Amino acid sequence: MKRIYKILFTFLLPAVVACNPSLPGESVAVDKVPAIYPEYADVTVPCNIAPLVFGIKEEGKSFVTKLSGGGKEFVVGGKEVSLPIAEWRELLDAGKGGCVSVEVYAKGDGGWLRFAPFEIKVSADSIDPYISYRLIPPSYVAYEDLRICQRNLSTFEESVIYCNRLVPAEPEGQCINCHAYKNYKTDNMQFHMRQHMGGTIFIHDGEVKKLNLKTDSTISAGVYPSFNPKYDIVAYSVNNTGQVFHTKNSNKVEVQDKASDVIVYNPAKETVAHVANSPDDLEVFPCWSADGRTIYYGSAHMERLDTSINWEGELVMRYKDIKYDILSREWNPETGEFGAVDTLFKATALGKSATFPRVSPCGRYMLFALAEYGCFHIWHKDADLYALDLRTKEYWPLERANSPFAESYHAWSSDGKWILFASRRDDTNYSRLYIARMNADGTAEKAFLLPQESAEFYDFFDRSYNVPEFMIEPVKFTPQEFAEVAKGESVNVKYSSNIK
Amino acid sequence: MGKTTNKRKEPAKGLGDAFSAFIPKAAKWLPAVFFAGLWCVLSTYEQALLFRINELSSFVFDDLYFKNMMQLPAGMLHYVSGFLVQFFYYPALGAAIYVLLLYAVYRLVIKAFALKGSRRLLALLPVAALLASNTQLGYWIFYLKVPGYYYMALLATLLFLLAMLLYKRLNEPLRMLFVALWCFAGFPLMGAYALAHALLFACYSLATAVAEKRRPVAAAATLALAVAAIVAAPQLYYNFYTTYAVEYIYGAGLPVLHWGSAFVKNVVHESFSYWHWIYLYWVPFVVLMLSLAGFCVASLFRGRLCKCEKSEAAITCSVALFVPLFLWAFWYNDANFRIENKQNKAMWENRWNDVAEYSRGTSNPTRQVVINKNIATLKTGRAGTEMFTYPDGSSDILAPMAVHLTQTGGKMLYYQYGKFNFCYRWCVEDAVEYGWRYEYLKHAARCMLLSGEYRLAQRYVDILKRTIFYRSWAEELEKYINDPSLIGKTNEFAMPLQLACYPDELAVDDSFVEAYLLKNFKYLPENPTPQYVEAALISTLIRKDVKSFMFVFDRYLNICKPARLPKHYQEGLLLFLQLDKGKTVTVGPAFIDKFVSKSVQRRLESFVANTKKYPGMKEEEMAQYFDDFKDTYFYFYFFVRKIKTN
Repeated sequence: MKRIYKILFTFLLPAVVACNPSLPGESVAVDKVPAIYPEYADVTVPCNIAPLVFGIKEEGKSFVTKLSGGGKEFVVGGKEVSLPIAEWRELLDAGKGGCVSVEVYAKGDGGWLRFAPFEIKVSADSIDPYISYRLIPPSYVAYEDLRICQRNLSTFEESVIYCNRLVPAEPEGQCINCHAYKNYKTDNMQFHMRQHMGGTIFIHDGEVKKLNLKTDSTISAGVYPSFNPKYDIVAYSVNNTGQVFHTKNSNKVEVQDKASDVIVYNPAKETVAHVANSPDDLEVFPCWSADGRTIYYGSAHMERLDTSINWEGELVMRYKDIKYDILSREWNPETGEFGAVDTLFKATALGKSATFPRVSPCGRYMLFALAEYGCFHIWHKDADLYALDLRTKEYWPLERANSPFAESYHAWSSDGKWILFASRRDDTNYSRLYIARMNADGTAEKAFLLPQESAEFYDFFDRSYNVPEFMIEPVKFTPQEFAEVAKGESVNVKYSSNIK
Repeated sequence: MGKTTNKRKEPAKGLGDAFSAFIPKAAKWLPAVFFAGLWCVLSTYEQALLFRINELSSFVFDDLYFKNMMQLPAGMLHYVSGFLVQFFYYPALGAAIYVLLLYAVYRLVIKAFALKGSRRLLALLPVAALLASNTQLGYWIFYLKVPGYYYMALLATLLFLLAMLLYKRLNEPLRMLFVALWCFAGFPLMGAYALAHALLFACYSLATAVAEKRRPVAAAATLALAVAAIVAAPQLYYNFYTTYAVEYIYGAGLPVLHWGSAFVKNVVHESFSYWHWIYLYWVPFVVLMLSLAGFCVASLFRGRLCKCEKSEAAITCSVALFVPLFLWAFWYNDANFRIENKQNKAMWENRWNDVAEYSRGTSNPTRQVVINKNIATLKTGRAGTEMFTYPDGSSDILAPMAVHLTQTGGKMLYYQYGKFNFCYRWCVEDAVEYGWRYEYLKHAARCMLLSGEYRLAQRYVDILKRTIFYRSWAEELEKYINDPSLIGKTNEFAMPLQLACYPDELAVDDSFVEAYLLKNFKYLPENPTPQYVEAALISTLIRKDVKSFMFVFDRYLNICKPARLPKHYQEGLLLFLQLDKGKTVTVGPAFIDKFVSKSVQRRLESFVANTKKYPGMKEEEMAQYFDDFKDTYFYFYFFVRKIKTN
């Protein structure tokens, strides 16, 4: 037996040691930060984020990377820098409130090169443990396999909340979209199913049901939702949406509303009522204030100018004229009445279009996406995220978080210290999720790409992420349970002139 | 038995006996001929089809790709099959692998079921069924959502036969365990095939127990267990697979989602053939299952069948007749489909003369064949002199579903006509339904390169670089991404770029590629290139649009400055001037003489004179008397009617 141990010791120990990378004894310093992907240099991360796995995009025969911070140091070998979760956690705990320094060594023909180190700032603040998003190919009209997934931000664990393939594809497919939660919890949440077995899957105080939010008085079922954080009502836009395609422009597609209004839904009474339905206005993307007493939404004023063509044709011809302002209306929860319409942000005065208002949990800031025209900014390369101070009405772009490509679908974390948004900066066509630290003054730090287990994950992942939302707990129903609800009958809501 | 042995030793007498003696001997070499012949047919006659099958598949060496595959029941079959399909890139190599695996099925059937003498030929039945499941497809190749379809049933059959060799060696209690394991462990890997195998194993047990006059209790218990496992395994896995409807779980791995799908609805076939009969596509699978089931229960009949020469001959003749007839019936053989695939391969290889020439292989072409020919003649500068000398029309597509150009050759057309966004759009749309096939990846990379979206082009290039056979293609394209100045110096990109001189607009094609292109070329941009103007002129001829022709013709003269007007444009000009009768433009004889040759003028006079010979006759009937004019635009204008584009 001793002999066996001796043999094992003789042969295996050197092998184990050889597998453990060590820093080169001698190296030549290079005055340049190494190119890496995803780009994690100088980003600020929450102290509970999953390991930032990245690939080194420099030439070299072999690579060694030192990650250090707060007295801890780990050395990783290879072109892909990936620290096990336990070691990463140790590193972040040690570096909390400070930073992790990353030093890359590359071995070339002339020996080892040492690139200038870069830092990953580690915030003392943690981030909500879960996010959810829809995974969808960046397609135009077709859909086949759509999933709403939830992801644990401290690990790489992802699970399916619901997939449309859980119900039969015949006689027509099923589209799913627009998941939303009340106050980051999953006891009150919803998402939509369209076409086959269509309806809104609505969880109200832990009980799940399927709703038909279409009434004779509204132009469609509910679309873009917003749970009132304080009261038991949900705002939706109702939209009649179409798509047309650019023959040359790299934006490729325009998603246009032919008609749209804003409604509110009262889950206790199963009724809906209009908030905004002006015939010459396209109203969309409702959002509640933090106190639940004001509703914000985007609105574009479009009157018919050319009656020689149909309305859809005119919208196509004048697509660059469709510009949205952000309006607001106060709501009285005691009477259920909405106040007068007020213009919060007049983007049209700047020749721009602002959509997707989202108010911070503290109620002070609003984020929105701003581009030259239209409402569906994820397809607009010029779309950027802007912050607006609801007290002063001042606004500014999130310069460090934005990119030259589309940014949209932003969400606030439950403590308002982080934002999550979709950006197409990586390859211009696939929406990826970025997280940025929001400072108390409403500015953002450099955003970082949602980390994955492999640095090459996004190179081959053929889905876009959309409608990302933070959650403080996972969804409690299984996908199969949602599928069973989908196969059941819908509750038909009624129209009421007052939501109270 | 002794009697039979004696009979065998008797010398053959007469023709019938000689035949009876010959046939069993033929059984020895017939399979060799069959497999060798099959390889020859596949690697030559069907080489364009095999190449296209590869182009419409996808296999990438990537963990994510593997994980995605394994998320589906039958995931392992999907994965390995996808790997094998890519070898059709070299049709001879792919066909060799395919035929070798079919041969393995043949040998394993013989071994697993101990077939002897002429009965060995029966092993060709599952082989023929497997082959027919692929050869029957036709236009389904564009609509199958299973990238490894071509090998899935074959691999599942191989696994079954290998497992059967083991199964036969087990005692009944172990067989019970084996069946349960096969169901529960096999379902994620093989889907419905594992369930079918379990049933076959159990049937084999029962049949052998009965044949060997053993008490069939244990075998019956195996069967009962198999049935229970078949019912339970998919239900169990349904809770783990979050992307599979319980309604489909028992058919996992089968093409059931596609045959009998919505495609079949609302398609009216004007010419009916059995290729339009949707349920026939199941026949090869049924034959496969029945033949394997037959082998499993054959022991029940063992010893009861005569082993005389006549029975051997009967089996040999039956199989020798059935297999070719069955394959003939289930071998999709449509000239247009074959030509389309040959044209597609030639287009990727920039063999444009061949693209045009292939279209002469049919007298009644589909629109795809015609449009491919049109772009080939435009690309080679022969449109004005040749494009109406080829067969024209819009033959119905021989398929049970609505076949759209967008899924077949539309992407290539959009690319060649400089509509990069639309080509890219259909790549993305179809990738949603059928996955990122090699063909889509190549189109997407090329279109985004020519659109100047280099990051996006790089994405698709990076994926192609992870493949075996498209790596070099991708690396070649990557050179242009790294140095875009090379793009303008490359012939291959010249015409698409020249035709992309239009301004951006919002549009929809409603899945009708040709109709959209014809409509789109109706309008000339501000500063069109000569190629664009010529394409526009051709579109007016195809649309038979007199007014637009006159307008575009004027631009054609000014921009293209032809030394001599090509024949078809002369024909169009002369015909339209006569039809227009001065409504749009008024020209004198000098104008006509300047642009239209005397021979063309005489040709039209002769054409008109010919029409007067058949007063009152409908155009469709009259066409047969105008064969001499089939190479003219006049013929196209009057006799190529009711063009239906898809």
